[in-house]
Amino acid sequence: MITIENLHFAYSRKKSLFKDLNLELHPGKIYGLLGKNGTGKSSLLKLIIGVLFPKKGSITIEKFQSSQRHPDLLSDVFFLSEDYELPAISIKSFVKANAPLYKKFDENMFYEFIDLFEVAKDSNLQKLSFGQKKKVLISFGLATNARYLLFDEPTNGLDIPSKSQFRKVLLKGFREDQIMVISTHQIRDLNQLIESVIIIENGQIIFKKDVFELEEKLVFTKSLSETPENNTIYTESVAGGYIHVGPNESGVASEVELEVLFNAVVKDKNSFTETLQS
Amino acid sequence: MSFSLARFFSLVKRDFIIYKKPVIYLAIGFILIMGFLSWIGYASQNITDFKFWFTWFLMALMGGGLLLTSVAFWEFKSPAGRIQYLSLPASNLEKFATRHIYTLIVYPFLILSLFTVLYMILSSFYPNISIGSEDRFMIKMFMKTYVLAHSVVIICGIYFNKYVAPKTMITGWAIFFISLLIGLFLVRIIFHDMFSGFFQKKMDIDVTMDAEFQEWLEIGIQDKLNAILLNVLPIFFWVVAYFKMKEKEV
Repeated sequence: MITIENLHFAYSRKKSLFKDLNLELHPGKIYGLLGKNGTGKSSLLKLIIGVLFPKKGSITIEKFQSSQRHPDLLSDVFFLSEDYELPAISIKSFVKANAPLYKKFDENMFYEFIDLFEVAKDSNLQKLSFGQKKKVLISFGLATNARYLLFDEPTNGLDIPSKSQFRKVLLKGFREDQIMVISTHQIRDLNQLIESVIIIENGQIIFKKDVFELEEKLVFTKSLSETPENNTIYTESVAGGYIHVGPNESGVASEVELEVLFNAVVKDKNSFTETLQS
Repeated sequence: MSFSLARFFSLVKRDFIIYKKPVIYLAIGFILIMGFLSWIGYASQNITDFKFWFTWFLMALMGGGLLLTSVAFWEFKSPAGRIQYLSLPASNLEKFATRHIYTLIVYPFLILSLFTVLYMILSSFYPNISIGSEDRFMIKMFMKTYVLAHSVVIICGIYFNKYVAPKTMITGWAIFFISLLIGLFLVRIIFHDMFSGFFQKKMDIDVTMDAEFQEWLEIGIQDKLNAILLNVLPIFFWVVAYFKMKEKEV
């Protein structure tokens, strides 16, 4: 479990990024970390892996403080940052260089994912495109069998077929004892993957709900009419019509449109909280 | 603080795989430079002159070694590199120790070996080449000076992310001038009755040291100061460097 307690963090003395932030992440879930630009999604992930230190408060992963960067913890954490640098060596050499540091690394699993992503095994990393490099890192991350997988904008740079491959690979590689946190702006790419939604705004977690609960309590209706139906709490125009969000009175679960949900929560968090509590 | 030999060797292996090519190019470059130097020495008839080789030894040890130390944490030059290196599953001590050993032990050892081999080759051709006890003492002193300088540069290598060598030089000069100024002011304050102007010595005061005092200062204090400077200070700086590594953020 990842526990964040009373987290304060700032890059400068004048403006703090997180104030008294609290969050608990449990195994067996894929969390979607959503927020506008500059709200601190990437910083939160960096704080969790211990490459940034909290000014106050604590981040505990199992028995370790993340800022200690204890090797036993680091071998159980894999972070894919938005930007990365890969050496000018072959994929095989990359595995040979890095795999011994991860106790549970599974080489067969790595090459299985590489095959799924359709990346040539004997390629030199420097000659791969941005998206292909990302595929190598995602495959490596999953093959480490780390229990904490943190991905920052993983679908950036991936072409359309690769996004679908990414979802397949992620679902194939994910286990019930793992926690996966995906920070993204491209919610549509991950709509069917995310199991719990976390929204950050103004240095706070303003929303944290399981998609399962949202499906039960909210209904996302597509309509040609802009006029809201009864009890509609949010309406958004989309290509070819409108999406209305309201309380689910029929009891039949409806698919959650994460992008609409995000816009709705950011616009009026209180209406959502009331609807979800009722 | 944890240390595992298995992880340490995994880091060494990782570095070797990733930086194999640059290391090979560097080694070839060094051998070519040595060949070129031999040719210069031969052409200028300095080939049997110890001072000629000693100057190049110093250049290789101090210049090359400290430059290498300044880029020992090459990954720190970009935020992505820092994230990847700091989040590698090894302790801060293991990460620090690997780069420390390359620059403090492996590199000077290679340089010393290279010059020893060169000396052996040259002495077989020119039997009049010899290294005297004073030369050996100088080599030993400069090796110790390298250890001290290395301990300072490695702190800067961890602290600064980019342009470590120029930033280290600027910081070094700044610290030197500030220390000099502080020293001068302290002398001015403590021995105020010896000055007439701000730094103008009173002409009627004899500042010649008592011979006994001078001997105590030169033999007693200077040796102790040297021992502290060359043996204790590097250890203190390495501890500081380790803590800098521990505190390193993206």
